[in-house]
Amino acid sequence: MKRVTQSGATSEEAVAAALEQLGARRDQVTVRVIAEGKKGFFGIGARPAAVEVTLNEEAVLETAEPVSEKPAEPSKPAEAVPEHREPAEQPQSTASGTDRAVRETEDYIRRIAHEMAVDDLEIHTKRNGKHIHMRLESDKAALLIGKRGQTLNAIQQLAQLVLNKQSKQFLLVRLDAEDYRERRQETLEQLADKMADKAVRTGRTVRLEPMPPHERKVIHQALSTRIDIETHSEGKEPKRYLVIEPLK
Amino acid sequence: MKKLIETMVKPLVDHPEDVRIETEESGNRVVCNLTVHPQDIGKVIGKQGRTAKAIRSIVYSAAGSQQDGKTIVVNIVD
Repeated sequence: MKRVTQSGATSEEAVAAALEQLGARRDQVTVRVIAEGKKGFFGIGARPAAVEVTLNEEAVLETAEPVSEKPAEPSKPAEAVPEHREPAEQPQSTASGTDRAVRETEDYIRRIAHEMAVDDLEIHTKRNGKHIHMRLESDKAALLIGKRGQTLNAIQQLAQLVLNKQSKQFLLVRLDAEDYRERRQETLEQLADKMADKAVRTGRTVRLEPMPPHERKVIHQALSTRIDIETHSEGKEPKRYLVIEPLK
Repeated sequence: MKKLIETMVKPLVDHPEDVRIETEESGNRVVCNLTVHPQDIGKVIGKQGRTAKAIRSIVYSAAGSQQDGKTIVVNIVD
């Protein structure tokens, strides 16, 4: 019996991915939902859905699909072609589906950059599970980053949409140019410490300016080890801001 | 500018053939009116206008880097 445990952004997506892995149709399997997913925001507070998909052997035999470990018999390829799927090759084709989505996303970013008069863009992509990290290189990187990374964040957001439109598996994309993210993280950590000190010194609550979720996360994390203050966020996206409260 | 918006929007929607952009110029202002298939409006606006905002900030930064210094407004028409 074939059984696959798969996670995804929603249970439906997880089931779809599992079906692709098994090379089976929806009516040939039993699905058990292990965990319902939560969408969260930018990966913060997101919880992936998990499902267990079991292939029903009888259902498969009835439809005469080749599921056994040995490769499909060359004797009957004609009828098998439309629905034919070789289980052994399935993981590969899922991976190549993701690769294709990644390549199309790279193309998408390159086309946008081209329209912004950035012609020498190079994209270096690294993949780590569902995280796709793209490093952009250009002489005009400053143009792609924008004020406080606004443009970079905007491109990242659109890239995220295009990537997940193409890919079955839920993926998170992160764009960086000229190590902007790293430098920004340092700046944010310094700012966090400075503001926390200010809150303690004045004994008053300090409100930071609105920031995107991943930047707030950096600050929350940077201050999580301090025992003299507490942090939380207030307001609604996109004007959500971080609040530092001194503890008496 | 029209081409930039097209490049950004077309891959996001389900009906790329229905993406239309009309531009109106008046003095220093350029207004780009973006029309998409009715089913795709939500896609180009996004949750709490997130996608629309991203599209606008890219357009603004592209416009800012150009020499003519025109102000660009992006409208999504429904």
